Amino acid sequence: MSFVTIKGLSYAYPGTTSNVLSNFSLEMEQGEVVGLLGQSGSGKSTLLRLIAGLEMPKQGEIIIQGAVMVNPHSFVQPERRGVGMVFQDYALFPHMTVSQNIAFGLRGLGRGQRKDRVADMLELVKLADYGRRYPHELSGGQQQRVAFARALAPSPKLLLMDEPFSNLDADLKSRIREELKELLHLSGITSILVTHDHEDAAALCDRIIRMPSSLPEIQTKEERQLVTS
Amino acid sequence: MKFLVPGKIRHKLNGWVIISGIGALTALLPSLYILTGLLGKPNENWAHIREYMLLDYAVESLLLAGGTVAVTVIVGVVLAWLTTAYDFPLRRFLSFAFVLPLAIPPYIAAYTYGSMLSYTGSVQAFMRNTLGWTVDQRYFNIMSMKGAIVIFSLFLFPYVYLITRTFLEKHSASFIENARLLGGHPVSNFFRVVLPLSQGAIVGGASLVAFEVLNDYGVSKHFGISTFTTAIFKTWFGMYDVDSAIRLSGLLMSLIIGLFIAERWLRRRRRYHLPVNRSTPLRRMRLGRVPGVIAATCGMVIAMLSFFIPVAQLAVWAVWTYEDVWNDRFFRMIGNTLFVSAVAVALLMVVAVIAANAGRTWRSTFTLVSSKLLSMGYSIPGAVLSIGVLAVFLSIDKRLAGLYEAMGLGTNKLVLSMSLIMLVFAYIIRFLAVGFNAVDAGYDRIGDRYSEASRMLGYGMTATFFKVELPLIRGAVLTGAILAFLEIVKELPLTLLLRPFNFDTLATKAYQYASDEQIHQAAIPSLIIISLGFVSVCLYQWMGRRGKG
Repeated sequence: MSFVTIKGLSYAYPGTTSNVLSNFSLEMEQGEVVGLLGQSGSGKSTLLRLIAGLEMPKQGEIIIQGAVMVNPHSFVQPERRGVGMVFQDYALFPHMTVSQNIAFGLRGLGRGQRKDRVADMLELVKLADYGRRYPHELSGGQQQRVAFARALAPSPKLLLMDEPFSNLDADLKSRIREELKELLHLSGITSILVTHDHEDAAALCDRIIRMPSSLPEIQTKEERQLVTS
Repeated sequence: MKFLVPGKIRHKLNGWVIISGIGALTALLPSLYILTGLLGKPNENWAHIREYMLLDYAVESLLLAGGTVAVTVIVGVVLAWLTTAYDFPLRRFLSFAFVLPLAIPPYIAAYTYGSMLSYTGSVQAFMRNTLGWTVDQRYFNIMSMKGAIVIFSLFLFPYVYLITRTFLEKHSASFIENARLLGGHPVSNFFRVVLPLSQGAIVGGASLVAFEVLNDYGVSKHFGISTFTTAIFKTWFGMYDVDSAIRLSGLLMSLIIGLFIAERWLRRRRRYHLPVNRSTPLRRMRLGRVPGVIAATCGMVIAMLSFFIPVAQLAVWAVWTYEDVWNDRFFRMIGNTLFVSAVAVALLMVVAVIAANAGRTWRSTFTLVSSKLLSMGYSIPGAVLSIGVLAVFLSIDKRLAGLYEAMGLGTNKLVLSMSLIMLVFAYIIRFLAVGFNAVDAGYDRIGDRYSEASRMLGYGMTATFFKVELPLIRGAVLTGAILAFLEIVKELPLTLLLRPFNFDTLATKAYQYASDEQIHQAAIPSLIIISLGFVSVCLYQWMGRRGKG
C-alpha cells in the first residue's frame, strides 16, 4: 500500500467549468520526495492545495497513510490532516517571533517539551540564535528556513512545498537549495515540492511529475539530466 | 454552482457561516415587514394621503434628489479632475479642504445658513449696519427647494469628488497621458476620455448622494419641504397613523430599490480592464498664472462656503451661548450619546467581523448575498428603517405579552419597544456596512495565506481567528469601530424616531434647539458633532493613503 494515493482528482475554479486539473492520479512511497514540475497555470499549486485541504476537489480521492482525506462522501478539514506546508511567500506570522512561529503548531505538549522541540527545530535549520527575532528582521533565506521549521515542528506525515525558491535571489538559490536538500534528507520526511524550475526539481527530488499530467513522468537519473541540460 | 451540491454544503457549513446567515436575515426583517405593508388593506387616512399629498411627496423628493445629484456631479467631477490633472496655487490644501464638508451633517448646515442669511442674521446685519445697504429679501431666502439643493450640494459634493478623485489617481494615468500624446485638446480629452472612463466612480458617488438626500429629515423639515421622509414623520407623530407611515415607507423603499437597479444598469458594460497598482501617478500639468489664480479662487470660495464659514459662525454662536448650554444636563446628554453609541458599535463590530470572516472563507453565492444584505441597511433611509424596526419590535412585544405578565410587569406592557434595545438594534442594521467594509478591507490586506498557514498547523477556523487573524486586523477593526461610532453620534432621523422618551443625544439636542428657534444654542452640540466628523474624515483620508502604500 502506498503512503499517499491520489485517484482521479479533478478540480475547476468555482464558477468555471474548464478543469485546471482533470483525472489526476499519483502514488507515493514513504520518505519519497516528489517534484511537481510545470508552467504557471498547469494546476500544480492547485494540486498542493487540494492535498492540504485548502480547496475541495470536484471529483476524486486522496488517501494519506490509509486514511481518506477527501472522497465524494467525506472531507477532512486542513487542520485535521497532519499535513505541513511551506507557502510560496512563507506566510510567517508577522506578529510573532521566530520561536513563537515555530511553536505555533505544537499543541498538546507541555511547556518544557515545546521549548525543547522549538530549540531542536532552530538547531536543525541553523537559526539557534534567531528565536527572538521577528520575521521581517530576517533575510529571505532565513525566512524560508523558519517556514520549513514551522511546518516540520508538529511532525507532519507529509510536507508540501510551494515554489520554495521563488522569493530568493538567484545567487542565494543554489546554496539554499543544498541546505534544503540536507534538511529533507535529515528529517526523512515524505514531501511534495512544486516548482517551475527543472534544476530545482532535479536537485531535490527522487521523482519528477510533469504537469499537465499528460506529459510523461521522469524517473531515472539519465532522464533527469536530459531535462536539466 | 458549488452551493447547490447538497453533499458539499456540509463540509464548510460552520458556526461562522450560520451566524452571518442569521444576521443577514435579521437585518432583512424590518425591510420585509415594510414591503409586505404595501400589500395590506389601506385605511381611510391613506385614501386622503394618496389623493392630496402623495404626488407632492414624490415630486419633491425626486426634485430634491435629482437636483442635488446633478449639482454634486458637476462640482465634484470638475474639482476632482482639476486637483488630479493640474497644478495651481493652494492645490494641496484645497484637495484636502474639499473633503471636509463631509464632517458637517447637512441638517446642521441648513439651520446655520438659514439663520445666517435671515433678516437678523450676520450677513444681512453686516450689510445693513456696516455697509448701509438695503437688500431685497428675495435674494436671501434659502428656505426653499433651491436653497435645499444648494445646501445639500455644498455638503454632499465630497462624495462624488472623493470617489472620482481616488479613481482618477489610481487608474487613469496611462489613458490620459495617451490622450495627451495623441494631441487632444484638454477640454475634449475631459469629455471624451476622463468622463467615460470614470463613469462607474461618478455613478457610485452620485448614488451615495441620492441615498443621503432621501435619508435626510433635518434639512427638509427645516426648509419646509415635503419629502417622503418628512411625510413619514408627519403621519406617524402628527396623525399617529403607523399603517400609513409603513405604506409611505414601502413606497420610498421601492424608490430606493429602483435607484439600486438604475445604478447597476448605468454601470453595466462599464467593467473596463483597468491597470491596477500602477507606480506612476498622473503627472500634473501646471496651469498658467491667470487660470491658476482663477482655479485657486473658485476653490477657495467653495471651501469657505462648505466648511470654514459655517464653522466660524457656529463658533461665534457657541461663545454667545456657552454659559446657557454647558451644564450638568448637557454632560448627561453627552454621556447618553457615548453610551448608546459605544454599545451599538461593540455589537455591530462583532457582527461585522463574523460576516466578513464567513464571507471570506466560504466564497459562495449564499455568503455574497448575506454580506450584500447586511450592508444594505446603509441605503435604507433612517425613517423607513425605524418604522420597520418599530413594527418588528411591537410584534415581538405583543408575542411576549404573556411572559411580561408572568414576570409581573403588568398587562399590555411594551417592554422592548420602549427601550434602548430597539434603538441599538436599528443602529446596528443601519451602520453595519461601515464596520463591515473596514474589516473586509483589513482581511483583503492580510490575504488568505496566514489563515491557511494556521489551518495547516492544526488550528480550526475559530482558533485561527483569535490567534492569527484578530491580531493582524486589529487596526482595521478599530478603524471600522471609530467610523461607525462617529456615524452613530451624528445620526438624526433614526434616533428621533426610536429613542425612548426623554432620551437625548447630541444630534437630537442640536436638532431640537434649532427647531425651537434657539439656533444659537444648537451651536455647541453641533460643533462637537463636527469635530467628531473631522476626526472621521481624517481617518478616512489616512486609510485611503495607507491602502495605496
